[in-house]
Amino acid sequence: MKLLSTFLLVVVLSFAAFGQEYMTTLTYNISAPAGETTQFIEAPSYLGLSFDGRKFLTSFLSVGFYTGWQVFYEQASDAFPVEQGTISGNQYRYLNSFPIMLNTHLYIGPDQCLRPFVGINAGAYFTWKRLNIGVLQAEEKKWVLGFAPEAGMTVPVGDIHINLSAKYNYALPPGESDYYEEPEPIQYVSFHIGFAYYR
Amino acid sequence: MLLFKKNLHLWVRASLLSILILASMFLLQACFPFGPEDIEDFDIVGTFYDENVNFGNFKTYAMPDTVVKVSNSGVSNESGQYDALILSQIEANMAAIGYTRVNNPNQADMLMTVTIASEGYNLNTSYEYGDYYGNRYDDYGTGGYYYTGSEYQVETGTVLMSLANQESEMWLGLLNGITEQSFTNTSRRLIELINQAFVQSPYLGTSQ
Repeated sequence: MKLLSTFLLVVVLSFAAFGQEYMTTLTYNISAPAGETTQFIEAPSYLGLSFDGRKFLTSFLSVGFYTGWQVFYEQASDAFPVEQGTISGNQYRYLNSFPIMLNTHLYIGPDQCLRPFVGINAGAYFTWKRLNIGVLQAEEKKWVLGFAPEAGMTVPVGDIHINLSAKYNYALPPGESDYYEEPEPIQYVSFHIGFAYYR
Repeated sequence: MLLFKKNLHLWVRASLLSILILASMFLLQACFPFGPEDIEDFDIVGTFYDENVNFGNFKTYAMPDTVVKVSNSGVSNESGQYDALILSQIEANMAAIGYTRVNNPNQADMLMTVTIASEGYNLNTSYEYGDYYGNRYDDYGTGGYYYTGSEYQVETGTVLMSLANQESEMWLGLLNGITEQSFTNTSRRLIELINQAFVQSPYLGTSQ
């Protein structure tokens, strides 16, 4: 009963605050590789930028799009095993990810206050993976489907809002690969800080 | 227009924040390491072996004093300036793991042969190489002889060390890198790479 009361209160407050039609965000991102991606690159990425635009269908529900760029880089010199042997040398590993997605979000509370939200982004990732060792280079560029569940909040600061959020980016494995018998998904957790603008 | 003027302060703040974010990105970009910077950064060592061989069963090996050279112009066994260094470094590493060199191949358990192969290689320059070589050769002009903006012809050298018994090849060590003129640097790199080939082959000299 208490839970139901709380839920109703949130819904009423949300509708009471309805008045904003659009929200746009521009954020700087720090990301950490996750899952199988850590076998290729372990180092976090401090080079990321993303942008999204959302239209509110109701005070607590929006739909929109999301795009961005994140680049991971790592230099390693560890010897690594190959079939019947070992190879060593400086390795330069790069992973670029460009998500282009549609999204939907649910919000709690009015935008004049701290406003938590959860959402899901779904669409495509353009992934660009590259390994340089010696004078050799292995490179693969792929368009793959993917999704990114998200949680965050907007915090009013004067007339604008700060956007703080996190996404779990999951790019599905490509159908085929020149370098992997069983291609793996690309996964990373991105932390976003920037501003949100309600209109 | 009215809406823009009304919200001018918001646009100013949003623009400043955008500039701040973009400036941060560019600053971080400046710290971004762009791949190989020195010629030895291109060096690689590959070692391959027959997993069914017990290298602890062998005690002696023979190694010709000649290093065979293979290039686009053919095969040669003329003496080269690095031959003695390569052979002595291999011998030192083989001795360290318990193998004894003998002069007569008929009395040896194994035969070590060394080949040097060289070839031209088109090094495709993606942006990081482009930046590096572009800056380095900027004095010559970006359209000059040294800088094409897309790819560079480099000479790579490969040292092949092959260890075989009378039945088959059992171990192959492959050292690959960009060749250079400096005798001192090349000698140092060769010593390091030969040592690395043995370091990453711990099964040599031992019973598995």
